Amino acid sequence: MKTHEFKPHRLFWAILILGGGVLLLLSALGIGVESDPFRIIGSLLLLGVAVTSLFKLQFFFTLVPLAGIAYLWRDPLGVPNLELWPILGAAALLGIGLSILFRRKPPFPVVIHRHGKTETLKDCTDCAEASEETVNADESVEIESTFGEQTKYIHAQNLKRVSIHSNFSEVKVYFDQCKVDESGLTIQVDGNFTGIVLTIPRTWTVENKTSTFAASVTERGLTSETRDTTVRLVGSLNFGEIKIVRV
Amino acid sequence: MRVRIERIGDERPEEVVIYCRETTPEVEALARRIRQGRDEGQAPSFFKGDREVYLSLKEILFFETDSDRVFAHTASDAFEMHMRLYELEASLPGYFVRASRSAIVSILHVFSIQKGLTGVSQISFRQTHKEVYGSRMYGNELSRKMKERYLYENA
Repeated sequence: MKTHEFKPHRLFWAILILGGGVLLLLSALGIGVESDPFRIIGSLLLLGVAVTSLFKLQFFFTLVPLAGIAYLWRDPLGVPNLELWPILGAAALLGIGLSILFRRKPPFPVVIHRHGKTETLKDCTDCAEASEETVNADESVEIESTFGEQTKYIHAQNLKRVSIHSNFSEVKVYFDQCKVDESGLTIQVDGNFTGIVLTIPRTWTVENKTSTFAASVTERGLTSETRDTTVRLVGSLNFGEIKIVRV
Repeated sequence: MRVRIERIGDERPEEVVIYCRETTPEVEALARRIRQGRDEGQAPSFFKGDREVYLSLKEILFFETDSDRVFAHTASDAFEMHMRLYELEASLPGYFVRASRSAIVSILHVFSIQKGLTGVSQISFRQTHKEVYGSRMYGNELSRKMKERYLYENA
């Protein structure tokens, strides 16, 4: 699995964390920091999560950190009786509601022709390669799961991309019955509070390019010396796990 | 159980009647086997690409739908079927049971059933990594069938 490439959002986080480190240092030296430095750093980190989530239109992860900031600064804001769990609960519900109302639009449409009907998918495999493309049902698969469990066996014979949208769900996707297009396969993940298990043949190579927050991508199972297929794993995962199982 | 065969004339339809004190799972299984005996000619067909493959139903772990296609899964492969899931369900032996709207499982191959908090069950099979989820609606029937599995294994 390859390491992440350098991206602007990583620069943003680096500056934020470095700023926090400088503040702590100044506080330790007794120079110019009057408020509790840990509160400032906590607020900075939460603000970072809120800002990056807002850019991705992830309302849940925008509002919950903002609620945390409001709680940390409840005295200067003039609401000293503000309680943590009610404000977090309110932010969570507002975030979920807004996410349902304003679902993220794809940066480019993917049009599927299935049995004479045309469907437009919510999909983004790689924004850097964004373009309008027409694919058929044997090339693209979309999996959506919210508050549930789902298994999906993929039988496509010319698979190019798979989109997995999973919130508060457990999703298991089996790729051992499908054939991948010569150009390779892109798996786009959009997951929050989710567990995703991808069962793949042991001859596949996975390039992990996902952006994660409080989440992990792990691999399990034996790998083969011969590699015949390259899979690009892209998208975002918050509070969850992607488990890649080789069979 | 006593078995009696009575010959009848052409004016009456042929039928099998089971006289029992109680409709137990054993009696239901017996009735299903008799019904299946009358439909032996309608065996389901399996396809791999454009090849027709001849499998024994006892090799099948489960059937599942993928969009509007139905697939039969063995431990290491999957085969397409040219029929609807409900049509298939009606023609299957009694050791198959509906686990969800999109899956029918063979109780002969079920290794474990893990029930979740929401009532959804994770069903795993012997000697394979494959799994399916069973919905709460069909959970009781699946449990009942699992209890009578020995009838089919020893048939």
